[in-house]
Amino acid sequence: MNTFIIILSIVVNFILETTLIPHFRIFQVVPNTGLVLVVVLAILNGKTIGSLAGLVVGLLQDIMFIPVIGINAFIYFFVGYSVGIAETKLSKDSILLPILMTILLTFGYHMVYYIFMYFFNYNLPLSKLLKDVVSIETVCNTIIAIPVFKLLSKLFITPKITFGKK
Amino acid sequence: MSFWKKYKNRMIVAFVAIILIVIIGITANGREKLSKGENLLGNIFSPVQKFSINIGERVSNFFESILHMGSLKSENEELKLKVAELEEKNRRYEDLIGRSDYLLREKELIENTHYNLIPAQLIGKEPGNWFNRFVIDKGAKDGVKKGDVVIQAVDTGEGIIQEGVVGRVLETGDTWAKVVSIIDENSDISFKAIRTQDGGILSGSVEGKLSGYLFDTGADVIKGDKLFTSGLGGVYDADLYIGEVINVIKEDEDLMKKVEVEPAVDFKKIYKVFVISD
Repeated sequence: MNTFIIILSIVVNFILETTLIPHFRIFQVVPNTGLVLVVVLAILNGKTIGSLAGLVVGLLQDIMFIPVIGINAFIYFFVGYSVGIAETKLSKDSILLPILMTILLTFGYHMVYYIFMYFFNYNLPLSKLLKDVVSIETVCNTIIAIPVFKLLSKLFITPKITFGKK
Repeated sequence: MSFWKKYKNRMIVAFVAIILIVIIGITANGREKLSKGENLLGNIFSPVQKFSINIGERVSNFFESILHMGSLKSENEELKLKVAELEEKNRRYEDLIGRSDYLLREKELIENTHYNLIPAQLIGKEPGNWFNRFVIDKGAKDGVKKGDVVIQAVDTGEGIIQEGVVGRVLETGDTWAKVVSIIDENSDISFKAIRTQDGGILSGSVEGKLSGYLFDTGADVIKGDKLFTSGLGGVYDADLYIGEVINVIKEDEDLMKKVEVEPAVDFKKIYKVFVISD
């Protein structure tokens, strides 16, 4: 059941992210719901599923849009893994955890992406990028992370308890 | 064995990372064809995305038309006046063109150039804010090839009127193709100013703005000049409309004259496009 929900959420997110979400731009910036989803899945399910989910989300984006395969898969894989490591040491109940993780990893995502792009000879102005894109995207992602976390934590945790009682 | 058990997780993580980096290395140099797996994935996802993006387009159109309901009538009146004005202007221009042999020949050339256009529709935009790439619903089966130019145009019934160049095809699947837009950071496009025939190169940026420089420092390009593709380099076909110059920057210590350009196409709202296949 959990596997089904995870796969479904990844597919639904991918379709929404590439088709509907670009209609809702805030200061020309779109939120990165893929990143939010990987963070939330990793918090709720640990590092194995987190990193696997990251790999799938990243590969989907790479294959459908980008001529170079693997950059997003690489970054999302480590996003899932690093959140998964922290997950065992922190309380899952607090809403603060996904918020903090989203802020941290949105920033981390852009930094790693910048390093990759640097090696691909893209000359991008880092300061402008931080000011115009990363700051707004972090806020958007954080706002989206809250309902996504609440929704998915309900889906994942409740059935486990009822099965345990039986 | 105990070593393997102790570091199993880390070994797997390192292994996956290495594999991914190898894949990045292999695919980085550009390929002629997509692999079967990628093609299949695209074939599965593209109809679903098409369905979903059409719903999004309808919904946003619906809300937009409600918002603008009041202003529609006055806008219509305004547009009618504008059409009359433009027709008048057009007649004067044609007269002007008719008087110059060189321009006449150029006009004939443009009129007689028939591109083979494939109508296509946007089915997905790349997530994230770094690049401007998208996927269209026509692929190798419909005759779209790698390197084809994508333009935005209106089909008026009498003929197709081009509005502006959008980008070019990066890779094709069976029923879908990846397109990179001209405002993408890594996309360069050679242009000429239609008034003076001065040439130069434009490139995109992360903020989605087009800017570039002129080959000739003394070139007489001013704000409001219309820029067309020059066809130099053979990446983009010649005589496609790019946009209008909004700023000319000339610094003394710089050896080049820089221009900022407002593209004719609104890249946030592209939906129907045409692929030029030759």
